[in-house]
Amino acid sequence: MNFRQDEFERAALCHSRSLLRVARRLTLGSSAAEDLVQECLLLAWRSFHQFDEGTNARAWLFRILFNVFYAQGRKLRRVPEIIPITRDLASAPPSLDDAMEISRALDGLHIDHRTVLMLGVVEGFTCGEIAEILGVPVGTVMSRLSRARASMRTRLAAKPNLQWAEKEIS
Amino acid sequence: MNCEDVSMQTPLYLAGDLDPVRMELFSAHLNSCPGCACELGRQAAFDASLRTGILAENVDTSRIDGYIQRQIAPQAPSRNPRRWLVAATGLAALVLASVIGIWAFAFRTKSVYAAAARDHRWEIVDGQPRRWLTSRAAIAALAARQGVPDSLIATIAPPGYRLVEGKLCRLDGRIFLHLVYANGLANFSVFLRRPDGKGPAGTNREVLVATEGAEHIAGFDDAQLSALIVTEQSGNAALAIARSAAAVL
Repeated sequence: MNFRQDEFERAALCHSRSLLRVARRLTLGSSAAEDLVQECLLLAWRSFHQFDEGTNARAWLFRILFNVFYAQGRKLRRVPEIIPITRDLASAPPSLDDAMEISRALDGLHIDHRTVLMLGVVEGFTCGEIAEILGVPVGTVMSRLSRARASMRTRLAAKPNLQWAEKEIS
Repeated sequence: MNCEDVSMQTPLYLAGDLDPVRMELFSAHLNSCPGCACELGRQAAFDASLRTGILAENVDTSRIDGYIQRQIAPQAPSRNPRRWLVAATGLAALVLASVIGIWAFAFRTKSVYAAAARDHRWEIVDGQPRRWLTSRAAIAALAARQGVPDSLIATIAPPGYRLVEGKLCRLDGRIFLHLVYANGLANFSVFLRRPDGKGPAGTNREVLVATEGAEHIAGFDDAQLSALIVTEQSGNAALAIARSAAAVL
């Protein structure tokens, strides 16, 4: 393994889980999401010489991910597939059913809302970083986040069996 | 900061994007407004639930990681035998073409040299009858039509020799201006022609020497002129005259 490859694995490949999580929400399909992440990482590898060490590698990778996604004209979106949810994460507080409800509710949102929720809430990007990744103003990100949260809460509040939603939100 | 401001800036607050000044104002409003504080608590709880719920999904990147690692691994030098075959075939073709070219050029040169030697023997040594021009002006006009400069005709002869006669002749299928110089004791033939592009390109003043029977031939062939000198005296004499002609050019 040469130095450049080692650097890439350390800086970029370690984010493949985050990329795949978001790619699934973009494409709503497991195999299409994997294709998208593979394309993203290959593109990142080819342009890795342009990456400044010490800058935000995650934001850089997500920018590439969205560039690839938009360049493909969102062709990667497919009929929604069931994303496997396992119980191997014992520390996850929501029940399996709750996690599936959350996942379904999220997948039912508009893609712009799904995207900002995934990037902001799940992946922990700031509004400024999301704006840079998506190439939109910060104000747009903020309004999308507000609408997305409201929409999700409305959807989840309508699920009477969702224990955590009843307890925490309604 | 009022309730509407807080509502608008809640995404920034939750993302930790507020600058210190606005954060202080935001916090001050929450302390004084139970409604906004409650709403913010619900938002934060929702975010936590969403995050936990999504992170509970099984995300297996082993296929992606493996694929990328294979793609970015340094490529070993190709051992594809077809590449070697193509390279070897190309090299062989190049060598063959070079050999054929050299052989063809050498063959043609040798052929012209032999023809010049025969021509000199038959027409000059044996004296077979030919229609020669003996007038200096007529020879100059004939040379001009062949593109041979008159200055060359005048200066090519070594000291003591003079132009005796001239005519056109054909050597190995190509037309040459055949000039004969003599000093009363010996003579030599000079065959001149403008190149037709089939000889070597550029200025190649290398003088080649050959012997054909009793005749010694020296000549050069370049982009400006092809010249052959034939004499029975010696190879050195032919070489000296050829070099003299080459120097004149």
